[in-house]
Amino acid sequence: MKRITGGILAAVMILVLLTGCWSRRELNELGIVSGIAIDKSDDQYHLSVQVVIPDQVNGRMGKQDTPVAVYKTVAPTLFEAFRKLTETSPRKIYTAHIRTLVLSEEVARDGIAKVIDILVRNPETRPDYYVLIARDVSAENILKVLTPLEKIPAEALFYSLDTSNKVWAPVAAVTVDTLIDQLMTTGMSPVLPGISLLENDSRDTKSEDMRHIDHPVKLGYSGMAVFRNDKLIGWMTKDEGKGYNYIRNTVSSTAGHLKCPDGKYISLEIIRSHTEMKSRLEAGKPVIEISAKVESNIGELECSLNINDPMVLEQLQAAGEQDLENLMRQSVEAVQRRYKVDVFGFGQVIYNAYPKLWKKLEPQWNDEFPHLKVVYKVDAHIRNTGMITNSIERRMKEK
Amino acid sequence: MENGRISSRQLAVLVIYFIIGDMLLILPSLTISAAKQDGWISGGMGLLIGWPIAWFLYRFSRLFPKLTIIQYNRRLLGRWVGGLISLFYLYYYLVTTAMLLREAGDFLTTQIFTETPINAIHFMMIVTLVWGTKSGLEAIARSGETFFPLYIFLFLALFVLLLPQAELSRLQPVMGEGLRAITHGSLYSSTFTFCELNTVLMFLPYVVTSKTTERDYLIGVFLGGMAICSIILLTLLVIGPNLASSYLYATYAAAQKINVGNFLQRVEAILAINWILSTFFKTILDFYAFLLGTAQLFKLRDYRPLSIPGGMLLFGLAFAITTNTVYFDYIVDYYIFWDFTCAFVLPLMLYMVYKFRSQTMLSK
Repeated sequence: MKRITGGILAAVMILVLLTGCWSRRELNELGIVSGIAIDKSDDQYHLSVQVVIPDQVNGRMGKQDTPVAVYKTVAPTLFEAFRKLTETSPRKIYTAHIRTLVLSEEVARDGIAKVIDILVRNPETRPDYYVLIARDVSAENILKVLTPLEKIPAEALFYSLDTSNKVWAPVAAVTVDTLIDQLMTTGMSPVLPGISLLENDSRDTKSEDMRHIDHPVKLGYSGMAVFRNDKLIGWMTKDEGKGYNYIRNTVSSTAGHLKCPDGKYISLEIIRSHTEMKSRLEAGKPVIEISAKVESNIGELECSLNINDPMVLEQLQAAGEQDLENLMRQSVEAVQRRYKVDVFGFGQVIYNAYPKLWKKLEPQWNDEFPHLKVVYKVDAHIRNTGMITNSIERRMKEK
Repeated sequence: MENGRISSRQLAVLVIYFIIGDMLLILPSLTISAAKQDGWISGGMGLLIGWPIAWFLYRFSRLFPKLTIIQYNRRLLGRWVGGLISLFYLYYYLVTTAMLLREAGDFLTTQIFTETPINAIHFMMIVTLVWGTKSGLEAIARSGETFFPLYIFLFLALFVLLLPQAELSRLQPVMGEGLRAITHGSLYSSTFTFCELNTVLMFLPYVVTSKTTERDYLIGVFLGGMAICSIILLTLLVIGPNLASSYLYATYAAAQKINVGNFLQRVEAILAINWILSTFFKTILDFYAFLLGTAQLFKLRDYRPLSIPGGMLLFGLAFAITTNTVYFDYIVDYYIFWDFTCAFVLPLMLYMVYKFRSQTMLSK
């Protein structure tokens, strides 16, 4: 008898306690968000979310219609805006799979800290998506562009940034947790990549556009946004961005060119790059020492330089070193002159080496930074010439 | 009263659970906000301070190897004063149990079951607590031993999976915030882990002692302490001091970074499982100490009938103990002193009374 009562009791307990479907949300009830765009006007946030339409992404069934839908709403706070989305979206917005967050320039100028707060506070989202600033275009329009190779545009942005980050120096990808880390690190201001519409066509792209080979509207990365604290103050040019990435040691591979004596170009494929920053004291003042090591291959040779000659390669290396040094120097000087914020993290380097000195410098760092002395040491090596040696042009002449 | 006996190996396992306990998730945020990138040094310092305290607790319990602290309080200090100190300990056990329960509830409702009422989670845990205490110390120790391999496996898995995300540069500059900050951090890492171990005074009498018991106990303390240090270090290496100090559950935020080849990711639940396991054993031992102590103080024949009323008490207390998570963080700084009082000040006082009385007894 006791066993039976016990059994029944256990069964009831299991039924009550272990059927964990308190607030279950099935896959077909969720609107999975791939990208978020935030604009701002008149103290109201304009929130647009790009929701994946599962049927259209499906390989066999899809292609009849657009793979994503954009829902937008306006509210004074973002949290309200997210909930208000349900007025138009039939499914509850699920933000665990965001790939990109696009902020408009106005939002960025107003301060990004308050905008990303909700996304970090909410346990549903994970801090592994990229943050972009929409340049010369509203953030919303960025989400409305269809992309041919990747069906989901926000995913396309993510991968394009991911790939550029690996093989193209002017672009640096910043995930939201790195961004927050940089916002909180002393002696460091964040930099975010900018995105714009390349052929600025204001009309909404429709599914038809998928049939074009060269899309009338494309997305492209342009420049890097410079922040003071969390507020956007300006843009770095492509070259400055490239210098920035070399200094921050975020370049893994890229391409660059040098001029031959006859004015034609020789391109180098940078296969490995490593930069270290150190700080030392000179007459009680901190000096930053940037040492970069770059390994490259010859990627393209237009001119008739005799690269079989070790001396020529040596000269090329020296030219490359000079070139990279100029690149970094221009980037640092431009930021020191124009923006006066330490985006390179020099303050952090000083803090690492001289914590006590840094505590004294920290309060007036923005005034000190423009006068900081920076020394460069570049060590470039050309390792390989590719599958052929001298250029075809030279071979033709030798014939 | 308690007829069960546990082996010294089981003791070591329980001690490891107890030291890691709830601190697996909570300690990294605390020490790192105090000591920034030097949080791991604080952890090591905590071990240096905490280990002797744990050793002292063991030596202290050997004064009366067959009695719990509630029993020898009276023997040493007499009926009234001893009773008062015992009540103080019982209150400590009860509140600590409720705090642990609330921590579990807060964590689960913040990170995982965001829409579930916290009471529902408390209720489920209390059912297990009541069941566990009713089954007695032996059952608790055995289940601890059963889960231990899984615990170790998940713990190591967390390290291996997070290693690719670790960056040594996040520890720089070493000693940048000075010794003061490190000491501040070590207050947390020594009290919430090693000082809270004073609950061991309630079940050491039921350990079958052999020559190796003390050694096993100390090894358990050491391993637990090392685990705690390394979890602080890992958190720092993976997310750095700034993020770690702004997250409520820094270790969990670090575990979310697990990503092996864009393939193995979103497995931070292994940390949650581990945390629930060790927190559960810490909670149940504190609860057990409360029940057994109450029965001993009031000279009841058995403590088991108390577990259901005790569970009901906990249900209310865990809900009422703090109004919200902010208030909880505020309590933390004061809890240090309570832990320290129960683990060191009071036992030291009792120890001196013992020495004094045994001397006067000898001189008579």
